[in-house]
Amino acid sequence: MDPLWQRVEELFHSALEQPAAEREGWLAAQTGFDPALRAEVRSLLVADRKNGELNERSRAAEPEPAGETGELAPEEPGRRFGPYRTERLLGCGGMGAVYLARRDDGQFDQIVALKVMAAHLAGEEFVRSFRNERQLLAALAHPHITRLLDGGVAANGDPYLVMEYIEGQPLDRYCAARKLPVEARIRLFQQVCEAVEFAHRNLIVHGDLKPANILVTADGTVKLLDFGTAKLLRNPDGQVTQFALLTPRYASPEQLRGELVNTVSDVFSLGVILYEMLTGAWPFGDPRSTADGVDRLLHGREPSAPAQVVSEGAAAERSASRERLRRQIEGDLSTIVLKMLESEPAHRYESVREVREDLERFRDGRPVHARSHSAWYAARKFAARHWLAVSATGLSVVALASLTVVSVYESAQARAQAVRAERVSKFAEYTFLSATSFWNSPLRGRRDAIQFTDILDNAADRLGRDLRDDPEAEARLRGTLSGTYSMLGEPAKGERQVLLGIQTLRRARNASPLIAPMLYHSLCTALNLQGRYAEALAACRETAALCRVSDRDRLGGVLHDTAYMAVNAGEPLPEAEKMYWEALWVSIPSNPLLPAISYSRVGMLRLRQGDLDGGERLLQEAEPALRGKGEPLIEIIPVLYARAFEEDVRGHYPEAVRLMSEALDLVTRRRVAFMEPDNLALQLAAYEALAGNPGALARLHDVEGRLPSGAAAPVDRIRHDLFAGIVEARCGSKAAAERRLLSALGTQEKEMSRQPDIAVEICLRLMELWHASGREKEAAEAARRGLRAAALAYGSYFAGHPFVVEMQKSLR
Amino acid sequence: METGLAADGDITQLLRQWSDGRDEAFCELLPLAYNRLRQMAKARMRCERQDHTLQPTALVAELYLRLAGARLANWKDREHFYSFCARAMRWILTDHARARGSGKRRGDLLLPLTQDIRWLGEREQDAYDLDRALSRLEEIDSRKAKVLELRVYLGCTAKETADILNLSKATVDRDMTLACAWLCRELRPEE
Repeated sequence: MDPLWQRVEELFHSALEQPAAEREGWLAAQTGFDPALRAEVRSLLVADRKNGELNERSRAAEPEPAGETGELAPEEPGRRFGPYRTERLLGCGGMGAVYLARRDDGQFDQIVALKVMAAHLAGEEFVRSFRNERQLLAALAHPHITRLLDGGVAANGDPYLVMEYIEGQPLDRYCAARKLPVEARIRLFQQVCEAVEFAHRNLIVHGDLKPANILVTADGTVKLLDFGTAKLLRNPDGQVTQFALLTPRYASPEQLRGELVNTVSDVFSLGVILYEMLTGAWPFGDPRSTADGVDRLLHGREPSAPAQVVSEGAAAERSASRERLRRQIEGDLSTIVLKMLESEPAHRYESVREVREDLERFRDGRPVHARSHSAWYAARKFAARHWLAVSATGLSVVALASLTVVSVYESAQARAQAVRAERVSKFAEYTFLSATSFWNSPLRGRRDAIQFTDILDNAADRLGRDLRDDPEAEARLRGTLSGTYSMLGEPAKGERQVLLGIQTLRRARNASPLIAPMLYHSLCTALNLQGRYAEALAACRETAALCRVSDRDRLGGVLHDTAYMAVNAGEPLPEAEKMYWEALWVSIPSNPLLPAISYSRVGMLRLRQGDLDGGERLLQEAEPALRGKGEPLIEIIPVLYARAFEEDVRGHYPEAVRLMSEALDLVTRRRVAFMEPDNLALQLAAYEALAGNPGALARLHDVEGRLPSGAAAPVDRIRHDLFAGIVEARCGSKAAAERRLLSALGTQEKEMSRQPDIAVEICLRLMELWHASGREKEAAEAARRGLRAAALAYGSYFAGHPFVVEMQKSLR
Repeated sequence: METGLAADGDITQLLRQWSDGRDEAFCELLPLAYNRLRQMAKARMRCERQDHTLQPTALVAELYLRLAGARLANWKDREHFYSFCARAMRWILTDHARARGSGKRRGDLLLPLTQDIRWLGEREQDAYDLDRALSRLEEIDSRKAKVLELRVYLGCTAKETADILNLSKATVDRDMTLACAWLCRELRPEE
């Protein structure tokens, strides 16, 4: 800013503080040596005075602010509408005014309330539908709803409604005047609910519920007014366009956005009303501040906890002390109100009847239904916050000694419920919207044959069209859709969706930065399930990079998954281990299981790197947490694997068998999503063979009969070959065993060369095989090779490692 | 271009085009939005009930939010949003005055929205001159220009203006005094 201007400003304000008579002199003194400055300030002072004069002149000329700026006086009373003549103004609302009117056609004496809509304000559309709906509103006969008696159109085109005249006070003033305590207020509110319920049953949505529209007569009866903005529910799915002006203070988010409204919008408005009745405050801040109001609309502010906002004054108006009022409101009552105020319509009470019933339960001291949802609610919120952390436990595939690839997608208990519920509910919202189209589609004929995937396919088709204008929402939904496909065992479709989503996201302006990491994580899942581990790793890395920038809450879980992917993709184990530690460091352990799971993974890696004691220790630490009380959690499976591996290394084969059996049993019984029991069975077969159990070969053949052929990922091929080789070596064909083991070794050298520990076990088994066949030279060669690999793999844990000892023995 | 009650769909359409980068859509949009805004203003201004947020700010907010949907715009913060609305109103009115030529009844102009400068709008040229003057004021003292813009075009109260711009009410009041004096000097030099 120009320093000269600043000086001018200072002088201007200081001059105004001087008494008027002395101002000029003061100014001259201040600006003595600068006539230009003085002239500038003086001219502004003069202008200031002139401004005042002009304002005065204006005010005198037009006492009412003219034009649209001030308050336009409503109609003068005394006008005629049909057989009625207006007597006095009762109030204003919406696009019209309400008068007390009297029938004066000589027929009989009747006092009514007459509501006039200003047609030129309301617009043609409103007038048209107003006429159409008059019939319907006339049919609403209920003790708590003011009757509509008549209606018409005045000569100048203004439509009007004639209603029962009710002497009463608006709900808020009634309660305040009588200092009604909470109990009495609830009872009143329940009457309101009855009225709204009735309207809803008759397929009428009020759309503009507020205390001003709810009168209470002297004898305490509630009367609902002003269904003038109410609309008939036109479609069976209950959605209608609300175009009339509404009161932002009580309007639901979807109404404010101009979206379709239905009965749950009324639930929301009732929620605001109840909140105010109980606490004396508006849920979203200061109601007079338009800034707060706009904030709510723009940023979706959540309601404040009711018990927190009560003031002394409010408590006095409710005949209680502040403490007492707080206690009355806390707990179930708060839960009920907050559930009515959910910003997502699908999360509110489904109907006003449910609200009324829950209030009844509250008054009876019975548990309210809102409560039972709140555990789910909390879990859902948790999942929403930690969805990646949650799915990290699920997504993480267990890497075994030699490579079993198993996907533990289903987390346990509430977390699984929460994840699925979160995803399903989000998705359900979308499918709900597209349900109409689905029922109209050709698929409908095949009712019995409809699979859930059909519904998904249909939704996927429509997504692009329906949301063409909203790339952010489309991207988000494609991410959800992808996850669902993956859950249902269609990862290729999931992959396609997420790629489309990523493409779409590029079109979105200012999209939420949380969407991109979510999409890449879904991509990682889909790729992982198809065995494309290297690509999955890349996707995971991308997710981590994005999370580092915009979603640090989830970074821990993502790093965990990245580490896991890295192992499967053949990255060196020390690198992967570092990633797990970083994940632990970064992650906010609000998922109490995450550290334990990470420990179990790192434990496995330690074992694979030859540190048997270290690995065992970590597993011991992790196990109790993951075992849980009673039924073991699914997350125990990685621990079982790891321990089985350890026993295998130490040569305690019966133990290994026992642990693997337990794992397999868990997977089979609990039907863990994505987890192929056959993968575990293969490994179990190997351990059984090593332990000398009969039936190992049978199990092998059984499994192999079912396993899909075709290109699998290197890590999977190796696993398969190794275990099959072990079983054949002990129980079956030695030639087949050799073939398998050599194949495994070949794959390892080519594709997984940076995980030399795999080679160690393969070489060991080859050595045993050839030794048993008397081919000592080859056995020795295998041993030497194994030892070289072991030197690389085990480093300082080389000496004394059971595998190493075995191989060294055979060379002597 | 008196279009009567424009269908909400048209406005939404134009807003979307505009947010997609088609500037000319904004120009087509303004008259439609302006009429809508006028209707809403009239209806709101009729009454004195407290539970209506009467301020024109709310009108503009309601307009933009309802028509555009909260998704369309991603406002950096409140100031950004309000400045935008004020700027839009300014454009609407100036353009309207320019396009229709002057010679309109005072009532059509939606000026003044603040009682501090009631005389503004009495002359045909006022809307246009105001715009020019504000641009000059922006060069000299952008804060006062913002205050004036919010108070005149959106009818924000002193308190609201203070909230939005993160100033104290006292500062806003002082700014207004000086800004109004300055404006008076600019627009009514002769008397």
